[in-house]
Amino acid sequence: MTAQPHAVETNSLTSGMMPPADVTLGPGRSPARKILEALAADSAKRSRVGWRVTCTFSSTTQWAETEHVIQADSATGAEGPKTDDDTPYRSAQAAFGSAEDEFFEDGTESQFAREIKVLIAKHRRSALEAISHLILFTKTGPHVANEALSTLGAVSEPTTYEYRRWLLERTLGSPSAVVRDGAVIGLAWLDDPHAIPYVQRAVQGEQLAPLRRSMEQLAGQLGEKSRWRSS
Amino acid sequence: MALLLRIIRQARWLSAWETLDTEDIADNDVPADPVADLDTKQNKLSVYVVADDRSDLGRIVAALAANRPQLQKLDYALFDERTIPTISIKAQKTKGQTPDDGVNDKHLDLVALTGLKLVALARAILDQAQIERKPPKDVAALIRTEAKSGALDMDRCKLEPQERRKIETL
Repeated sequence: MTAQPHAVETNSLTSGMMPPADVTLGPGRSPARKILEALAADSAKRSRVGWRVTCTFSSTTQWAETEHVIQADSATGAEGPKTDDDTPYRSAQAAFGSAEDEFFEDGTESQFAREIKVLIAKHRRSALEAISHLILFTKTGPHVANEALSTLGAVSEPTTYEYRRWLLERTLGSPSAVVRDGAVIGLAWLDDPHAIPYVQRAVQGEQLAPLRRSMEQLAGQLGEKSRWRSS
Repeated sequence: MALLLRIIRQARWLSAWETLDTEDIADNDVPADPVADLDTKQNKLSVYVVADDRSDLGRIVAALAANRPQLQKLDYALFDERTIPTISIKAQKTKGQTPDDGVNDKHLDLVALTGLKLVALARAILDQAQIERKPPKDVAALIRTEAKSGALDMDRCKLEPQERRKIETL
């Protein structure tokens, strides 16, 4: 592939668990997700040029109720144009990279979790955009994604709340059980009944018994919260 | 029939089940990730004995959760104690190190472990154990209950100050 600047701007990408074939930009154009995956996979080759991907997650499907935008630059030490937006993405990318070598242990805050909290406190929405991109569209390892999602639920930063909840609800449908488990942990921290339909749907599709039990447990917790709110 | 409880991180075992589903792994072998949850010291592995009616499970979970710096979910594997001799592992009763003396009396060390025995134990857990989770909210409730009853000595618990505050707010 020839290295040249790419701009895939404001693509309407339906959010949720639809297969790539169902996600199109419009007549005669390639599926948006395929473009994103190709760009991510090829980012090393593009290190001499800057590219930016902007995906608008539409609110037209049952899977997404809030519109979110993910922006990501190639962020590979590119020599291309740099903007202030590069900082949170690059910081997040560095944190995710280091986390691949970290051993995560329950009951002890990981270095990675601390870095995520600092990133969100500092960059808020931009940090979430970067984290979402890294989890959804790059080859982030499942255990790193698990730790990130668990941490996102425990963060107490109100301006990113809906975005974090959206990402957690969406990753309940990840192909990786380890990632789905991270979403369950994060949603248990949020304790928000909004997630109930997403969790119920995830329970129905879950094949691994222990994870299905964790999801059922979560559905019970959120149901109890919902009843408490309405009483 | 008593059960043995071992703290784990569920994600490592999920990843192992996925691997078993997709890769050709011998019946006496395991994917490597879950073995990381069986970290030994001096060839010993710490487990707790749970009554067969599970009446003391909450108390044990509270003691283990209060023995860590952060208030987080707690994952554990529960397996039949009769599994242990079948894979030639010996157990030795020793005192636990939690802030609950009653729970400390339920502590066992699995001793004289070797690499092969650890793999056999991991495989037995993968095949037979019940993997369970107490989410953060439940962990906080269990700690509250056991602290109130006096079973859990909060002066000896290792939770960081800001984590102790969560016990009341979650």
